[in-house]
Amino acid sequence: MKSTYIIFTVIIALVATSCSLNEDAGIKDQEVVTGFDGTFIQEDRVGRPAITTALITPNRKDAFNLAVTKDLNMLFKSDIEAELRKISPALAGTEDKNALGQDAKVLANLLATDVLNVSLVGKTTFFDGTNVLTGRTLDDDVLDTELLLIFGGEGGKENPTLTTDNVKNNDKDFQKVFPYLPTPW
Amino acid sequence: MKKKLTLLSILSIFAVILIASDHIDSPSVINTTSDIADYYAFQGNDEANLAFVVTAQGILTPENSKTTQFDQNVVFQINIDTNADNVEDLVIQAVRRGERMWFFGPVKPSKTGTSINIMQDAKIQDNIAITPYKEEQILKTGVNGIKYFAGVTDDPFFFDIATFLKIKAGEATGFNNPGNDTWSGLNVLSIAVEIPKSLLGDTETINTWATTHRKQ
Repeated sequence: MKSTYIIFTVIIALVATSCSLNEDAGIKDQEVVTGFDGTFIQEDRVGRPAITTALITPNRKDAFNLAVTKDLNMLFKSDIEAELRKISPALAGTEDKNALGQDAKVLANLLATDVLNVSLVGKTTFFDGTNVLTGRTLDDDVLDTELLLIFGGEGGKENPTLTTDNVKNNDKDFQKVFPYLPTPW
Repeated sequence: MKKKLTLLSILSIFAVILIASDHIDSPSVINTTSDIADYYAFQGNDEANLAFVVTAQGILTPENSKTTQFDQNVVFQINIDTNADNVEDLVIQAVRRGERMWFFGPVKPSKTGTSINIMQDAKIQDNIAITPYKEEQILKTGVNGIKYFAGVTDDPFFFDIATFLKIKAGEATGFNNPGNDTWSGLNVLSIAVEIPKSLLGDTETINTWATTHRKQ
């Protein structure tokens, strides 16, 4: 009885969420907004892929998204270090390092400043075997890079079932010219 | 124009609510119009240019894509730090008005941090018609050589995040081979700008991130 009630409640909640999503879009379609005055407050932020999702604990995600970028390192490097040690046997110990020679503390220090570092004079890529963190292209397999640095250990060979998701490409080809993005499904 | 919600669509929405790159990444932004999915910055096919792409409101099924729009009360901001202190020295802002996306900058922001104003007096500004769903992509090159695009696209992100979350939860010990791209067949709202590097100062490296800001 109780479980039936819980399932029912979950479905109601999901219906409510889904409906509000649709209503959201509908109302905004009709809305007439003119001018550009006013104050706008930050609600989300992104630098590198998947940092908030994978390495920030649920109770801290909002704080991460609402933070000023220059404060992120100070506020979150300890959290990220703890999470790295928790999820990765390749970084759990004090002697453990990844393929870039970083231990959990050093990697956390890098990731906590959640920005994309982008070269204006050289190749831009998240990682191409030679260049590291000089940008992020659409077809960079960024999660494989992050998985390798988190789970791969010193030689990149540890935990082989965790260092790639075996998804190498997008589901549609990217265009070679602006805007590079594929047309929708 | 309400959609009929089948149990299947409810369950599929529930399934994707659990996942992300930054898609739907925190309790407060999940399924809101300010939810950034991903951020990209890379050299354009013209080496003199740098392209920036922000994707948002991920988990758009083709059906959802027909009606989902950019929120006129949400400003997208591309933040560019040119002197390595992780404070934005230049910003590019994008906000929808009616059927057009307005772009301001690159310009030095009047204030840095979480509370911003639209730089409506910026010397560099332009606007472009938002590409309607499934129509040919509308592109524009402005007077400064800046290229603009806004509209629904395929979600360019690819990852088997469903399996990753099972691994994190202790329900799987590793990824499958072949993997399954959780984002396959899904769309996203995209903003793209391509800017001559000469407009980004004379530094060799920038730090950059994307933010969304809602009108108070």
